[in-house]
Amino acid sequence: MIKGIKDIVILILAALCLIVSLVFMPWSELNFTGNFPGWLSGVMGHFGVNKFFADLATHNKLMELVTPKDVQTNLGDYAYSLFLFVAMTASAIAIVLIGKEDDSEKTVLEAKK
Amino acid sequence: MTSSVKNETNNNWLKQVYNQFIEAANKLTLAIEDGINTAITSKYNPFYYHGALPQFYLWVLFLSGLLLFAYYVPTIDNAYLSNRLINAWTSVQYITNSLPFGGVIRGIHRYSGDAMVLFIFLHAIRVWFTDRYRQYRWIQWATGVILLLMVLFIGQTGYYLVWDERSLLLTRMTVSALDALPIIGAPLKAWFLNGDTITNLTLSNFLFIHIGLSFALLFVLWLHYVRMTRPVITPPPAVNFILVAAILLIVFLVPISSGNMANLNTQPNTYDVDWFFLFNYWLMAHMPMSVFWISMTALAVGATILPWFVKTVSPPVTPAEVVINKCTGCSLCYRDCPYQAIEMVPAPAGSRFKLLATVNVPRCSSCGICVGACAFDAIDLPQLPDATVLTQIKSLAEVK
Ligand code: HEM
Ligand code: SF4
Ligand code: SF4
Repeated sequence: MIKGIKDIVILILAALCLIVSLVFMPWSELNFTGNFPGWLSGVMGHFGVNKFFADLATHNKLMELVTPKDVQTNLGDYAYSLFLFVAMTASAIAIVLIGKEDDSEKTVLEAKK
Repeated sequence: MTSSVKNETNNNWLKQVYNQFIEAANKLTLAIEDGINTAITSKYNPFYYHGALPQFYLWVLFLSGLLLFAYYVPTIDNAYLSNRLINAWTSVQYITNSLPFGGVIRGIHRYSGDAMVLFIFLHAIRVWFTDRYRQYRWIQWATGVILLLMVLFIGQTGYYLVWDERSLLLTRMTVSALDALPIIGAPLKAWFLNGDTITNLTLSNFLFIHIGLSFALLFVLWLHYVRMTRPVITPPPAVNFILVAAILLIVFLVPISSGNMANLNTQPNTYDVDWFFLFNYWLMAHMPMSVFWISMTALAVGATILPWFVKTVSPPVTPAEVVINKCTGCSLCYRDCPYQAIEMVPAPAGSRFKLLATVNVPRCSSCGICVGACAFDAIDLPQLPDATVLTQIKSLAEVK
């Protein structure tokens, strides 16, 4: 199934897309609080992700990074658009990598029959 | 390029300079495209979707605009609710600050508009530099100029709708620009303001223009596409993802906000210029009104007539010809012609067949696709008969 580096890159990108859209997007939508829906906290508890977010929220590193000058509303909404950007870009690159194969010319014969 | 064409152009140095410029620009465009092809293959090369890119952003604009429209209130004041003021500006504040993701939706709408203008310009430059806008393509070019003007005006009305200080200033600048026009100035001004002065009716008019013209755009786009058999109007999904993602990143990096609420009793004098939509206001402020109008009109008219003004970059085309007694009326050529240059008409009396192919000369690009489509050897390019092509192919094959 996995034939080379390209396939590994595709898998990494797919994983990135999933993690960002399932974890980071809800997190920003809830305005960076750790109050995730129960199922998500459950999933994240397994990976120690809860602690990671608790640290982030207290140290505010990411918050500083994502604080644009004149945001008027929920900062989380704008961070959400950032994470959506990451997820879409990752999936777009993955699709391009997968799609490259169809691009070869199929009407040309390798050898004369 | 044939030598006879070269000789003609040599007579005129201006034409020569122009042709050299276009040839260089053409080479540059193709070189960039080749580079992108090697990097990401032709399937994902945005240059091959140059027309589809603005079209894609148009759909994004329709969708995000619909959401904004649901909460927008087109009034400058509300006498009945004066202690809890509801007007255009406060409704936009509400959308931005209180509605979930309202600020993001507003950002998407704003920046998709900018992106659309940017890609329209790239699209226009691409077709110009690759010399694909003249002859049988004139209708695409002429409607394209109209589309561009419409899109710019729609964007400007969008800026009036926010009803902050910039909106007020732009509205007043437009009024004085219209006022400066002879004869048609006064009625245009009354139409624009929907009365003599700025009132609630003015803002309803702006909203009507903004939305009405957006839908009218679809009609002009139909004219833009009508002569193309298979226009490429949707980029592949991966490209769409990137197009949306780019907008989301900009929304995050540069969140939009309104200025202060417009106050009819004051005259704001500075504002941020959005260079995609508001450059003409910048020009207006930096030159006499008459110079502004004359140069803008000259620019628009000049752009529209460009296809007829420039004639000699590539050789003139000779249209395809149908051989009446061979044509079976099978319509294959009609379906394959990329420019809808073939019309199927009733076959002449006495024919065994029902239909006959005819070529609409001004639409034919002499591409030869129909020649390949016809299984009955019934359509030919007069300068390049089938038999000649066949011998050429054969001799090439033998050399190999
Ligand atoms: C709302 C803005 C516009 C949209 C959505 C749009 C869209 C398109 C699309 C989808 C095509 C087909 C491309 C293809 O199949 O390869 C096309 C072709 C064309 N457009 Fe536009 N266009 C717009 C504005 C313009 C402008 C401003 C110009 C020039 C002034 C222009 C000139 C042309 C020409 C000359 C063609 C024919 C190109 C060819 O046959 O290769 N368009 N347009
Ligand atoms: S050569 Fe044939 S296919 Fe090509 S534009 Fe003319 S009629 Fe259409
Ligand atoms: S493909 Fe040939 S036979 Fe068929 S309609 Fe066209 S010209 Fe006639």
